[in-house]
Amino acid sequence: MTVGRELYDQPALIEQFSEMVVPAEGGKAMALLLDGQRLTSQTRTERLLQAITFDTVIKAAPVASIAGVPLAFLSAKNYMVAYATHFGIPEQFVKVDPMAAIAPFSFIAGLLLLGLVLLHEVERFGLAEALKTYGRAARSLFFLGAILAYASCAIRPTRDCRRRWRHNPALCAAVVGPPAHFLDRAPAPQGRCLDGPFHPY
Amino acid sequence: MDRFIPTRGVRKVGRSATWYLRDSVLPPKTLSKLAVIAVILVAAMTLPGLRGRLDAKYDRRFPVIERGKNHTEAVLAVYGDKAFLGEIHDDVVVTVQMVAVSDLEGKPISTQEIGPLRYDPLYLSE
Repeated sequence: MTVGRELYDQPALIEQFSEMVVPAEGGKAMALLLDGQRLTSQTRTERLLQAITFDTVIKAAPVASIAGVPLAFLSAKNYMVAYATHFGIPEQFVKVDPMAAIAPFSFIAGLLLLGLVLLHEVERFGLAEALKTYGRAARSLFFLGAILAYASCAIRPTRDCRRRWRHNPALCAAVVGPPAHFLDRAPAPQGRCLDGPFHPY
Repeated sequence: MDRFIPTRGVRKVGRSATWYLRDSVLPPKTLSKLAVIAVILVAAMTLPGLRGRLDAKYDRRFPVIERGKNHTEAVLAVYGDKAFLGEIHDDVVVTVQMVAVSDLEGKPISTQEIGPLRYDPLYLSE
């Protein structure tokens, strides 16, 4: 059975085939949408990009611009702290000029705008649908987010010759903890163990 | 050029780290997209600092107050109403002094190329 272009915008026919996958012209598989809205051979990403309206961008723009301000100041502060540390100027004297935060603000606000538009589209798509797709990854995604948050806090671009990685308690615990755990679980045998499980001879 | 072809063990390490997300949870390419987003965010927080370090390392032109044979006083940075003067011996910042910007008004300041400066913590006490 072939489904031609004449099926477009005919809800009755679409509902009739709504739970089937039929071959389209040219041998390409065409999936019918289960909600009966529209017959299409577009990919999910194409449909998502078409659904992004100017209205969505207008909704997301103020949030991105407001949330981008502190991030831009953080970036500018990172830059100036790094610059000052190279000469030995202490960090507490570094003050961020608002004019220096404009360039990072434009970059970060653009990133935030993209992310917010994506989130808004997910919201329009439906939380239940999104959870159906991504819910099983929730634990992994939270874990990934925790790792990223830790990395963004812990990676300091400035150079302090007195600071070492082993002075970081969290990193130290992460490095020393697992071996200590296993050492605690399997203590070394005391004395001579000629016939123990760890010594076959 | 010979490209590194991952051995079986290397491939197995990569697969075992992401097999659950790749094979049973996420649609294809989603993990890659998440990785790209994460890299962008981390880079937005870390790269400005690296750029600041490199700028400070390779800047050659500084506002200079006094240029002697072996001794220079340069304006290293200005933050608001504070200016930081560095005493420079042989392109090494030996001391850093904080002064008010208003104190610099009467002094003759010229911009000179005095080379990339470096900071030697051994000269400075804490």
